[in-house]
Formats: sequence, structure tokens, C-alpha cells
Amino acid sequence: MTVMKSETKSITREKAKWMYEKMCEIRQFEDKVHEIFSKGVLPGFVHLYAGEEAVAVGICAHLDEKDYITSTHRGHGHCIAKGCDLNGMMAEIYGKATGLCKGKGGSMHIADVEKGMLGANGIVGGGFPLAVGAALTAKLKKTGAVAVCFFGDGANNHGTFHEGINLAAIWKLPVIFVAENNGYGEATPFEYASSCKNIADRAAAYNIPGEIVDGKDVVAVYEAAGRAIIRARNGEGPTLIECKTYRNYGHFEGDAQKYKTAEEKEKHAKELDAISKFRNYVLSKQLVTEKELEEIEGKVIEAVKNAVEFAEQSPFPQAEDLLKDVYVSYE
Amino acid sequence: MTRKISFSQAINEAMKLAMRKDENVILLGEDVAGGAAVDHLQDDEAWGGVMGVTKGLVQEFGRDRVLDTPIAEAGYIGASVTAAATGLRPIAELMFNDFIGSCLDEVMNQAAKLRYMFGGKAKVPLTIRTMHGAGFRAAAQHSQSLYALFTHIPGLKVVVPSTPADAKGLLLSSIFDDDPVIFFEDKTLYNMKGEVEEGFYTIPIGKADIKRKGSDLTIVAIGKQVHTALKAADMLVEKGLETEVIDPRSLSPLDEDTILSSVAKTGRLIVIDEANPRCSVATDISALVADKGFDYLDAPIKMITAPHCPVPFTPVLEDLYLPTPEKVLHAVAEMIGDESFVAV
Amino acid sequence: MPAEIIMPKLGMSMEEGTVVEWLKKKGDPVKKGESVVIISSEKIENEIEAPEDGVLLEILAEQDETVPVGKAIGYIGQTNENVERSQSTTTIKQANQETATSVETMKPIEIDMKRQKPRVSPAARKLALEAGIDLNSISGSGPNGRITRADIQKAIQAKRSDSGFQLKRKPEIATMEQKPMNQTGVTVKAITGMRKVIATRMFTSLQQSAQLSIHMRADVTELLEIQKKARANLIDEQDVKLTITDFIAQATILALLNHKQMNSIYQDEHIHIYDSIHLGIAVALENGLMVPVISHAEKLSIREISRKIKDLSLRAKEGKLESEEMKGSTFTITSLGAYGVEFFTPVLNPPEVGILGVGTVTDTPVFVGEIVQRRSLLPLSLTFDHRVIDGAPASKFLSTIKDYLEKPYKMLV
Repeated sequence: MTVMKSETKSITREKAKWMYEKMCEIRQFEDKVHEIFSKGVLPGFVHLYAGEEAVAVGICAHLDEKDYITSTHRGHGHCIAKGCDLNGMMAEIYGKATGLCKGKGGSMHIADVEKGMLGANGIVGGGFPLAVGAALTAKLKKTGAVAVCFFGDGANNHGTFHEGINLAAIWKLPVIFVAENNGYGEATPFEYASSCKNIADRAAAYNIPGEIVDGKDVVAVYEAAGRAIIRARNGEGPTLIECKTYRNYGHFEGDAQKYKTAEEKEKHAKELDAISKFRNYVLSKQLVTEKELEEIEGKVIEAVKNAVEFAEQSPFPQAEDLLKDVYVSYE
Repeated sequence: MTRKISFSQAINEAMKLAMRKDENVILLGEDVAGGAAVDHLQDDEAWGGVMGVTKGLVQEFGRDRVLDTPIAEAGYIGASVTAAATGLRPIAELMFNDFIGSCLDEVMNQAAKLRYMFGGKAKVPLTIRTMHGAGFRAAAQHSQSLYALFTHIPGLKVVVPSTPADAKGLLLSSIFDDDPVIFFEDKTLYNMKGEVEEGFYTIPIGKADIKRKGSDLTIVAIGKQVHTALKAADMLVEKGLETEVIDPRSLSPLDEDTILSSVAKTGRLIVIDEANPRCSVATDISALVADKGFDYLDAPIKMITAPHCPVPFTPVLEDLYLPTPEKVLHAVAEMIGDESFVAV
Repeated sequence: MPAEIIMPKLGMSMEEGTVVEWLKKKGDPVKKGESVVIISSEKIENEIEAPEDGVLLEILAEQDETVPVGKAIGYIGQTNENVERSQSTTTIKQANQETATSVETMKPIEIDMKRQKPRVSPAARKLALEAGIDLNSISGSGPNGRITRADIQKAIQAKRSDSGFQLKRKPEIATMEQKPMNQTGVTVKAITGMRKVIATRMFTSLQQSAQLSIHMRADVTELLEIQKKARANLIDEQDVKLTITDFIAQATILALLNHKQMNSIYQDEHIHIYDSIHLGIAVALENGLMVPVISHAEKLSIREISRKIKDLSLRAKEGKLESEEMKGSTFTITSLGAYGVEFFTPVLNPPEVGILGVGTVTDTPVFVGEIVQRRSLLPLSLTFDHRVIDGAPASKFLSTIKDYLEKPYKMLV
């Protein structure tokens, strides 16, 4: 394991504003979905990302549309950080025709391939080889793109973890494997399910850098990601970054979360909250003013409110859509 | 003595009885106990499976026999195969049947084949319980009904119950069967209640159940679709048709005799299978009747299945995806040529 | 669009034909005009040619399968073409009309559109077979006119009440009846092709007419002497010998001219009397018989008749008759003389009303005046349809034939 020291790299004022906005969007979006879901309005089930905003935002702050990400069943945050349209996302969760996947995928499968968002995923561990494939395209086509594989601690025991990372390592592919270690795979603690102390420790087995960062600190994530991305774009191969984080809600909406203690929930929601931490950071560094932050917060509330309205007013798909897009060509 | 309990409770009860009866029976899977190694967690607070089906088992049997696994299906399903072959009688839970992609080799090439490849010198008394079925708004990777995939593979037995009573008796048979059994549980049936005998009983695998007697039309329906068939049968009474509803209960082995005898009587067959249509159990049963019961047929066989597409997320499309009693009436109208049948 | 290979209507009364052999396999390329399939019907086998270039896409009727006229038995098209099966009706109509217009002397036939192979459910088909119900007699109540089990059950009910006694229709009985087919030492053959045609026609003939046979002996001693003495002179330029058969034919033709009512057919409760004589000559074959026709026989000389008979018999035996040569007969001559038979009761060739059966010539002592002489007697059997002709005129007709044969010079007048 290589633990890299955090070098303070200045975040620009504009970047800071973007990061704050995206973190707020994720939080606001997820809180809203939580609220609507509890009313029984939404079909199916949802897995919420609130609490882990710093990871998606800190990583995606380096990416543009040519770069790829693969995601998990807990994918809303990744989508927002990668620039997916809130209206389209919310409409998808509602199962509407205007959704990013035309209502066919739902919460667990939101994707926007044009934006490099290769999909949330219903299969744990599904993302490893998918990110490797996208990186192979980037390498062979020399696009300069990188692929980020977000995965949970639950997935790090899955066979595809080994196969995917090993492949990326031997081919020196531009992949950043980002573990979001929120402490629980479903209801099972990380410590029980994994034989390693840290997921990043496993990087040693593939002879690639493995870095542990505070996943509640968006600046730390941003800096670690920066190093990994430089390495990736330079053709030096993949990096494994483990972000220690926490999910504020349960595994899915409706999970009673008895495996958590009240204290830990309280601590993460208040004292360790990633958004408050970053807010204090930008104010103390005088990157953004209080007024600007409030403007952002207001704008985000409005945007999410609009997204819900958009989703609710959108039509459902038509019957004939059932058999569309099974194939590219039916010839 | 019978009492009304849910499909989910019936399955839970079967596992409890099996584990009491034989200490070699163990249960393993993702969060089947839940919250492993969480000190503060009381056992009754543990999940007991993502749907709570295995709730309470860890309290009685402890964490040595109710094992939470990492999310590593190839690992624990594969381990169950040889645990079974070497003396245990595992119940392995594959949370959603869609996850078979992560461990198909262990099921298809190991569990199914050990006995045959080893010249009968091994047995694999393994039961894999798994959730299937659409209608839960769970989208394409959590809603499939993949029993045809397993029915295709010799060496595996495939059980798909439709009622709480059947679920209990068939699960007990599966657990004490010396061959690997894939036991399908429709997630939308878990809350369905029905009369279930108390205590230990088994229902033989390979014996279909006639869920309703009739003389004019045979409907063979799989799993939850048995209830679609029963609803349709009620509606068909008004049209003067008495429908026989057959629940095969196990797809491998398949009770061919019951199906063929029924069609011999009624001359008409509809198969309802919510899985995708190509190379499906619906086509298999239709082929069986076309082959061995051709002279019984008084009308073309009709299959009511999902269309050839993945399960859509949005409720409006998922509802179209699934078989319905109205679709059955439509098929009957086509079979007997009575336009008045078609529900307006 | 793929072209249908249709079961052609090769004779007026042809309702169905049997596939004898496919000369091409599914998927084989074919050229327009090339023979693709042999079908048999009306006691004849015919090669059917490809309607266009392409590939034999599909075979709908396998070998030995019997198919109604006008129905597609196969498709020819391009390799990737889809076969659409609904074209049939208009084609049938056209085929029927073409055949109909080609029959000049006969009354135009009805185009029976119902004569397509009925749709039958497997269960109904099996039940019909067991109960001896003719599927063609039933109209189906199922979708697209499909005959269902219920339709057959109704038909069985109707049959029971018609016949006034209880029909025992139990599957067990049917199975038992079929059992001998599986015994050893019994060769079971499906009734197809020519056999089926003969079976149907002969059965129908006896079922649907009032047949009566009368017999006479003709003294042909003189005729035989003439034939013997004048053998050299009776050989024509093609080295054709006149035979006793030729004389019998000639005598029959002349007799028919005198008794026109014998030269007729009975159809649709009408008697159709013909001016022209179209004489059918039954020809025994290894596996059946055929009746080629000498059209307008009254216009031919005995030499021409002789030549015609020999040519038709030869080609019948070789299976090379055109279907046109087998239809439209108004009277038939059949002979069992070659087998030593004297008298018999020929079965009418419907819709004709008369058939002459010729036996073997036997030398017999006969009183000629007060003297017993050795005479050659020819046994003649005439079957006629009593619906059309009564015994007296029939006897007169037979006497006329006898008279011509006994006084052959009359034939030359």
C-alpha cells in the first residue's frame, strides 16, 4: 500500500462553487426522494447516496464529458456529479417517458452515456470490468479519457473486483477504482465481510497504488483523485482509492438500520457532515462568500423542486415503447 | 391443524423445521441473518434476509448455522456445492435469481454435474432458494424469472411453488432431496396468505397439482401465474367454460402425465408463464403436448408469456409485460373463435 | 412473392390428387418448366412443372399425401422469401375455370369453393376417423371454419338418429379394428393414387346407379374366318392387324348410332344424350386399370379405330397418357376375355349408362338347323343403368351388337 501525503492543491473559486453546488444538489435530491418515497409515490425501491457526496463530487470535479464513470445501485450521486440532468433523473425515478432512460431503467439503472455516465448498476461488482472496457477504448483510441469505477465496500469481495483490477493493471489502463467504504454492505459490516483492514490494502496484490482518504472531506478526495488521474492519463495505469465514508440512510429506503447505532448516525449527520465541512472550508479560505453559498443553496432547492414537478407532470411511456430498444435493429 | 400464514412465513417455517430435524442443514447467504458481528444488535433486530424471509432463524440456530456471507455469490454458492457433497445439507440463498450471472458456473458446471461426472459417487444435497418474478417495479436486473435456464440443465431440479402450503411442503422436500434443487420464490407472493398445515410435511417434487378441476380448457400456469389462471377460470365460468388449472409445481422433473391427461379431457391448452417466451417453460410444455398429445388437441395451443424484452421499470410498461386474466380470455377467444369473449 | 405449386385439376371429376414423388428436395434450385413433383389422380400420374425459376421453398404435401385440387402443395421462390399461405382461393378459382372451359362437350362444372381441405383440429380428426365421419361432409364451427371435436360429436349424434340404431363408438373398438394392421404376415398399404380413384369411382358407381346386367352369346365363327382368311388384306400400311376387339368396337359404335339413348350420361338427375360417340376402352394395368377414350369414334374407320386402340393401350401401359385422353367417354368396353372369363357383370363407369363386357371366345357345339356344328361363341355382358334405360331397349341394343358381329358384312355397309 502506498499512502500518499495530501498536497494542498488550490481549488479555484469557480471549482469550489461548482463542488458546493453539486454536493448540495445530491443532498437535496436524495432528501427529496426519501420524502417522496415514504409517501408511497415512487415505484420499486431506491438506494440513497446522502452522506457520501464528497466522494462523487471530489472525483468528478476532475472529469469532463469525455471521461467515463461506472456506478452502483446507489448511483444518484454519481449521476449528479457527472452532470446528469436533474429533471431527467427524477423523471426516471418516477418511471416517466421523459426520464433519462425513458422510464425503462428506474433508480437503479440511471445512465447518460453521452455524458460518460455508463449507468448505475443492479449487480454488485458489475462495474469493475465495465470501467476496464471503457478505459480500453480510451487507450486504444487515444482519447485521453479516464474511466472511474465507483464501488461499495460490499463489492470488494466480489470476484469481478479481482479480475477487473488485475486486467487494468496488466494493461496499464487509465482507470481509477474508487471504493466508497461506507461501513456496510447491505446490513453486514465491512469488518465482517472483508478479510482486509482497508480495501486500499488490496492494491498491493495488483502492484498498483492504493490510497486511503477521508471520504467526508471533498478536498482530500479531490486531491487524491487528481494524483490518480494524472497517473492514469500519463499511461501509468490504474489506482485504487478508498474513501472512508458513511451513508446517512439505510441500504434501501425502508431499512430500519438496527445494525447502526444512534450515536454513529448522529455523529455523521452533524459533526462529520461533508457538506458542512466543505462550507466551512470555503468560507475560511475565503473562496466563496456566505451570500454566494446561500444563493447556491436556494438555487438547488428550486432545481430539485422543479425536477419533482417536471417528473410529476411528465407522461408515462406508451404501450408501444415496451418492445422498443430491445435491439438496435430488428432487421 | 392448519392456520393462515403467509408465503414468506411458510418458507421460514419449512427451514426452521428442517434445521430442527437435521443438524446438517445450514443456511447461508447475504444478510440471511443480517448485521453479522454487530455487537449491539439483538438477534431479533437482524434483517433475516433482505425481505425478512429468514428472520428469526439465527435466534434459534445461531450464527454457525445461519451464515451471513459477503456479496460473493461465486464464493458461497460454490462452497455450498462441496459442503453438500461432503456431508452438510446447505440451503444457499441467492438473493435474486438475476444474480445467477455471478455464480452460474458453480451451479451449472459443478452442482449439476458432480454426480454424473463422478459416476454416481457423489451427491449434492443442496437447495438454492432464490427470488424471482416481475411486478415489483424492480427493473431489468431484479425481476426476471429464470427457471427455464435451470430446467435446461440436467442434474438440477427446479421447483416453483404458488401457494404457502405448497411452498412449505416443497421446500422441505427440496432440502431433504439428495440432488441440487433450485427453489424459486416469487417476491410478489411473500405476503400472500393461505392455509398451511402445522408441523413437518413434504410434497413430492415432480407431482403437479390440479388447482381447479374443469372439463373444457386446461391452463398450465407457473408460480404466481397460477393465480392469474384461477382468476381467468372464474371469468370463464360466465362464458360457460369450465377450466382446469394445473400447477406443475416442479419444472424439472415435470409431471407430464397430469398435463397430458388433462388435455386429453379438455382438448384445449393454454400455458401461462411470465418468463420471456423463447426457449421457455411455456414452449417446453407446449411442445410436450404437441408431441405426445397431438390427437387430444381440439384447438391450437396458446402461450401467454412476457414479450421478448427485458422487464421494464415503469409500472405502466411492467403491467403490460405481465400475463393477465384478460390476456387469457383473449387467447380463449382466439381458440374457440368467439368474439364476444374479448373483454372490451 | 413465392409462387405456389398447385394441385392441378387434371380431369373434370378430379377433386383431389396424391403426391407420388417429389423430384426436388426443399431448398433445391428449380428452373421454370422443370418437373418438380409427380402427382397422381384420375388413374394417371402427372409431372408438375415449376411455375417459375427459384428454389423449392416449402413442401406442403408430402409423398402419398392426398390434397384437394387447387390447394398449394409447395412453394417456389427466392431463398429468403417468406411464404404467405393465404393466396390460395383466387388461384383455385382460376384453375377450376381454366379446366372447365377446356371441356367442350361436357356440361360446365360447378366451381365448388368449399372443396378446400377443411381445417380440422387433431382431436376432431382422430374422432372422425374412429367414428367413420367424412370430414368433407362437415362444416366447422371453430375459428376460420375449423372443425372441432364438438362438430364431430354432433355429426355422430346425427348419424345415430339417421340410422336409427345406436352406434357403438368407443375408442377401444376403434383401436381393436385397427389392430390387424399390426399383425405379421399382413401387408398394409395406404389407398392412394390410382387405387383410390378406382375405389372411389367403383364404389360410387354401385352406390349411385341402378345397374343391371344382361348377357348374350354372339356367334363370331364367320367373323373369325374372315379375320383369318383375310389377314393379309387386313394389315394396313403401318402393319397393324385388325383384331376381334377392333370389330367388337366397330359393332358397338354402329349399335350406339342406332340406339342413341345408350350413348348418354346420367348427371344431376338429367340424361345427357350425345350425338358423338366417345368410346372408352378399359385397359388392364399391373396395378389397376385405365379407360382411355376414342373421341368421335363414329367418324373413324375401323382401321383408324384399330390403330387408336393399340396406341392408347400401349401408352396406358407405359403411363404416358395425357389426361385429356381419359375423359369424356360416353360408353365403355371392357374385356376379361384374355383371362378365360365368359360372362360377368361389368360396373358402370359413371356417369355413363352402359358398359359392354367382352368374354373369351369359346368353341361350342351348336345346332345350326338340324346339324350340330362347331361354332365360336363370344359371350357379351351389358350392364346398363336402369334409371335411364329399361331392359327391352337394352336388350335390343345388345342384339344389335350381336347382329353386327354375326353378320360382319353389315359393318361394311
